[in-house]
Amino acid sequence: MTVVDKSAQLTRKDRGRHADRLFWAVCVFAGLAVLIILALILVTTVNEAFPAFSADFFTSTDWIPNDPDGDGPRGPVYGTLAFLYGTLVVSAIAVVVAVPVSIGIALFLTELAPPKLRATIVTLIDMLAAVPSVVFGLWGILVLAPAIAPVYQGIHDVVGGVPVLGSLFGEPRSSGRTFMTAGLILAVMIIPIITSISREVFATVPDSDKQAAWALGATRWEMIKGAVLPHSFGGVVGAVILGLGRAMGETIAVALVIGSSVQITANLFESGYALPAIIVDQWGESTGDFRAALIGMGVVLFIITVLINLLARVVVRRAEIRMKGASA
Amino acid sequence: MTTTTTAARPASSAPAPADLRRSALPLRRRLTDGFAKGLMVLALLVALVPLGLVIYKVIEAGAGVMSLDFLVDDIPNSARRAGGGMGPAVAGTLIITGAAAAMSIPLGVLGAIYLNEYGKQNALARLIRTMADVMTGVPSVVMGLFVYVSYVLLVKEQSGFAAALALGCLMLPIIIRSTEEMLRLVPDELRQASAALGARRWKTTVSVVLPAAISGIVSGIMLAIARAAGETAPVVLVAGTAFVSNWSLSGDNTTLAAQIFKNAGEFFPAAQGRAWGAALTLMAIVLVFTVAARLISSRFAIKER
Amino acid sequence: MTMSTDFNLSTLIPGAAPTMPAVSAPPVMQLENVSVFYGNYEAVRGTTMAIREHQITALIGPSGCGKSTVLRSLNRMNDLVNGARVAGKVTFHGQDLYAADVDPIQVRRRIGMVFQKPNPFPKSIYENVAYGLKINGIKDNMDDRVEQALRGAALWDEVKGKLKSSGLALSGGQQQRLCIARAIAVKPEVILMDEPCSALDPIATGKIEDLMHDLAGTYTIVIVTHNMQQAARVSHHTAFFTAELDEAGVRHGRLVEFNDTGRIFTNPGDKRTEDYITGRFG
Repeated sequence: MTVVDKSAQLTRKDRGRHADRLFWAVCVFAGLAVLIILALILVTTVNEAFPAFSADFFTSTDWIPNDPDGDGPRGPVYGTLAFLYGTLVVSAIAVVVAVPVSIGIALFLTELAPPKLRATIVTLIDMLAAVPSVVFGLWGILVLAPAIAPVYQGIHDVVGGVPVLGSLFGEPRSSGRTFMTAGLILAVMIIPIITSISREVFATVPDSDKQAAWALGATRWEMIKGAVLPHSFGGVVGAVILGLGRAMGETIAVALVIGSSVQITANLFESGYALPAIIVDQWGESTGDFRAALIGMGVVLFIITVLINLLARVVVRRAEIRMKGASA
Repeated sequence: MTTTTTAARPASSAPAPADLRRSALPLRRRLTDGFAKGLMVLALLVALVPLGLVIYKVIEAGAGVMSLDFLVDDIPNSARRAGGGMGPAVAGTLIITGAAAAMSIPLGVLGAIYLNEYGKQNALARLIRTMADVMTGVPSVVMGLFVYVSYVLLVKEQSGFAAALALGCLMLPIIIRSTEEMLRLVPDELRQASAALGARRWKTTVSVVLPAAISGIVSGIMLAIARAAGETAPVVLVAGTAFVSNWSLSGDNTTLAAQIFKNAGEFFPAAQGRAWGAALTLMAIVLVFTVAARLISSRFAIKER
Repeated sequence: MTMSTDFNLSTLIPGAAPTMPAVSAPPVMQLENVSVFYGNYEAVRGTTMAIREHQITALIGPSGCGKSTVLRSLNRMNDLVNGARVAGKVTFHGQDLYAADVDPIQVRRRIGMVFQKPNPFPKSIYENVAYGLKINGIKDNMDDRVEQALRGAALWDEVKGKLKSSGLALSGGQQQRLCIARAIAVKPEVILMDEPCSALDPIATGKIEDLMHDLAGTYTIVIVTHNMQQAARVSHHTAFFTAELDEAGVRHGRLVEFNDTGRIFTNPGDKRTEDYITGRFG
């Protein structure tokens, strides 16, 4: 270094440099908070739930948290299969109903709606997303369930004798609080997220592909089928998986309308239970191993939803890469 | 659509002019096209009808019990008793959501600054981004369990603060991701201009980048708050319950969402009425924040031009 | 329309000797005082010209002169742009393409288009060609039709062994010929080409130009190009567009001169055409 005075002004002043460093450190810590919290969730809940992880927990369909005859041979059993089953069934119903509807809305918004109408519809779909799930649950239990029970009866009367449909749409619960009702409510709740991601995916379809289809004399639907859908498949699958993750974790609405019966049945018009629902329902009355079992179900739910979300991201990422590779 | 276009043909050796009318398109293609468009409109209706029904019912049933007293009176400690209000739940919702916001906003904004201003595409930033997305997907009930085992068990007390912790954890990833989106929209020229004036990085970030993106950031935060205000499961798990207003963060508390859940399952019309009233109140709060978010972000959009 | 001009005349630019003698042929399409608006902005004003059967018509001019806009008005691709509107009359065998009961889908089925950037669908080569046939409900002899179209686009020999592989795996020039095959598979009468070679190297460009000569026997072709040599090499007729300010200072594209390609390149009737062709402009 030269000894000219001027160069001293160019060396960093310690105070400013420290401020920069400190700010950086604070920001990094804030970013790390996400990782820390996720790690803590896993560690602390697994630790607390550990006593509950027995063979029964993963294989039994029996849920007998309170030993019915004191200290007899029938000790408490914490089998969670019925809840896992219920979660899978209602999520499956939700996805089956929500996916076509969401894709339809997304296509309507990107390919069909006049620009002026578009903003209004997006606002309405945003409103659908803004309604708290407990409000959907309230509406579901007090309005939808009683109103839809006769519909279930009607469907059962028609298809009850048909082999497969007959067992899916069996004798309905008169309360209307069933797998099906929970699935339908969930469907409404996951429509906004699947719609908004699908919409983004459709918007990335290159205009040149659409023009190619138009120039061949395609109708709007043929253009969508030929140019939009093939390009969007991966992204839409990612959206669906994300929607599935949301449906599986949704707690309150399902807890209110699923009917709270611990049972595994193919009959979608029967009452059932779901993982998150049992946790909030029985939390207040639980202690000791009982509570540990509820926390254990939370761990199962956590792991499932994290895996599903990671999977969704991988699928979307791969679809993005493929699309970029295609246009390059 | 009925005017005929069999216009006079020019002197031409070309084959007979093709019929270019829509009606000449094969019926199957026209039907498929119309059918597909019809299904799209139908899909929209399928989504909007429940929305309309829910909003209508909440307003109709909620208005029946709504009054100023309802918003401040204590909750009857027997579900079958008529009267009373949701005062404690309103208080709890405000204080718990407020505390959650106070915890998650600084953390979320700073985290977003790390991602967009420092980390950018490095491995750590990418990991945090992915994990923030994963964290948005963590069910709220799990967040409640987490706060229960890691906080409530330690201090041996259910409290509004515990619920605020859980809601804060739910808001954090939403704020990080939405804030990062907004920071990304700030043009690099602004950062360079500030740097060229000799400002340090933190100074540039705080005095130039954040103000440029502030409307978008606030708008995202509003949406996160609206979402948190309606969360139920964590509150049920860690806040206990309250029948009189508790404006402090310690001790048992309750929220509108928790009260809706509790009263929805009751058979007594009085309880159900209070549930609808609480739902109307909650929807109004959510609506205020959502509308505010929209107004702020649309003002931002105008300023950009 | 005169018969061929004498091409021994020295041309204005070297390497651009017009090679395609213009012959008198009946018009397939006619533009009468066609203006195209985007919202309130008049992008092109008052274009009148005829597109003659089985001939190649080139639209040339500096960028922003509206040549692509005019091309897209010929098969109603402009309909897809919000706020776009066509005034004047475009006729196809005497039928007004913009009449109220004309379906743009029917128009595009008969007046195909090839774009600037090759845009095969992310599907197999076979599926790309078959797409137009399938949507038009043609299901019989699919393999034959696909082969015919690929032969017609001079691509068959290069891809016959890998019809199931992705159209995107082909080179740029092959992709563009695939797009041409896709367009001719539905047997349109007219093919519009919007700078079809601008994304291609000289060898691929040469192949497309040769192909255009072959196609002209069966199809009527309108090509937009900003490569004057290309226009001179491939076209029978050339329309020269330019962008000019009007009295209010607003820029509009307009047709300056439309004539046999030989005339345009050897003996242009307008000073502006000459300036452009000799490189003194744009």
